[in-house]
Amino acid sequence: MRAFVRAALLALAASVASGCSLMAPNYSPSLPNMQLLKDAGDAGVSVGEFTSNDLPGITLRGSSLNSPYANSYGAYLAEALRQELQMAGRLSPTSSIQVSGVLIKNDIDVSGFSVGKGMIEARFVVKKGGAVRYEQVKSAHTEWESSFAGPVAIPRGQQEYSHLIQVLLGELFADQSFMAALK
Amino acid sequence: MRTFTLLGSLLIAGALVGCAHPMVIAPDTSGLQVVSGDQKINKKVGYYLADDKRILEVTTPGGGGDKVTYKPYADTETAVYQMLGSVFSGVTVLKSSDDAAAIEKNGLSYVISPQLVTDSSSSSALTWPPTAFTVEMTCMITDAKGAPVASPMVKGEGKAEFSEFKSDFSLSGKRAAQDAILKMQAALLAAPELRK
Repeated sequence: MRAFVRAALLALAASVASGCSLMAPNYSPSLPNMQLLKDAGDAGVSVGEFTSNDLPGITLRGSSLNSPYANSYGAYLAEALRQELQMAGRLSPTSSIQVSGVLIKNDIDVSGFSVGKGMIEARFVVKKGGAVRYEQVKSAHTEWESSFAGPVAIPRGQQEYSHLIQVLLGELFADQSFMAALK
Repeated sequence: MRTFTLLGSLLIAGALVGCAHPMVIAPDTSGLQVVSGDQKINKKVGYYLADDKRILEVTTPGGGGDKVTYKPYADTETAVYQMLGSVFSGVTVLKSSDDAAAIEKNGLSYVISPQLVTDSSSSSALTWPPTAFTVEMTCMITDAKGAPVASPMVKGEGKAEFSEFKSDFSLSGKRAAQDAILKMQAALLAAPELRK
């Protein structure tokens, strides 16, 4: 009987934790974000580097979650911004107006058995011809229903990363001073 | 000890059986028909999706007694926007269906709101990903003043067998969503009332 209980506990542990390496989903642009960019003007914008030095990696119950863009979450944020600008018809790699930045916080937490949480914070800098026109820190928090079962909680947390970035960029685009700096 | 064993068994059963597995049904839009300028409908349209639909989660059957959960509107929204952009001369995302200022400013002829009804099933008793998926899409189309113009409806179907979906558990859903988008593109292009 003791062997059965031990096997049951092992199976239970396997259901709530695993130890493989996962990839965050490719970014999917947000249409409301894209429309905010379209409404704010038509000047072309380039995207510079977003660094994410010294940030700890994201771990989902023992599984590491990696960025599909150059294995860097800074590169993920840059790519997300690039996609939003492209969909809005405002991406111009040669533009003198450039957005760059630093990722300060970045985490997906699925350790809870009922609620998963996402948290991100980044410093955004807009330069025109080398002169800084905008520099501010923006953050976003998201929550979703999670699960005791790892096979449910882990992929759910994995999927939520793209949404977390959408919310962060929504915060940025809602800032009129940011939009003014892109003109 | 028997009680402890029973409780342990129930916990495992609860953790592993009857789960609602998350999946994403975002379709591949590379198959969208490229519409030439003279075939396009020369009208600008507004696209409206209520925020509660954007975050709506739907749960439908999977295999082995499990279920699958996904966000049909969020997953397909970008593809719907791209499809509308291929059919009409311009698309503006609206904050509300009666956003008169945006409708006037952008010269919009119609406002389009998609409605989705999804279902799934599986022929497998051992694996949870659906082997069959349907996406019924209706585009509710009104004129700039809110009067109904058309409501074309299509049904997208997607199937995937184990040998295919073992590398993409959402495959049948993605195929159904893609089928619905392609059929809706054809339905809009063929609707004479939208060219008046």
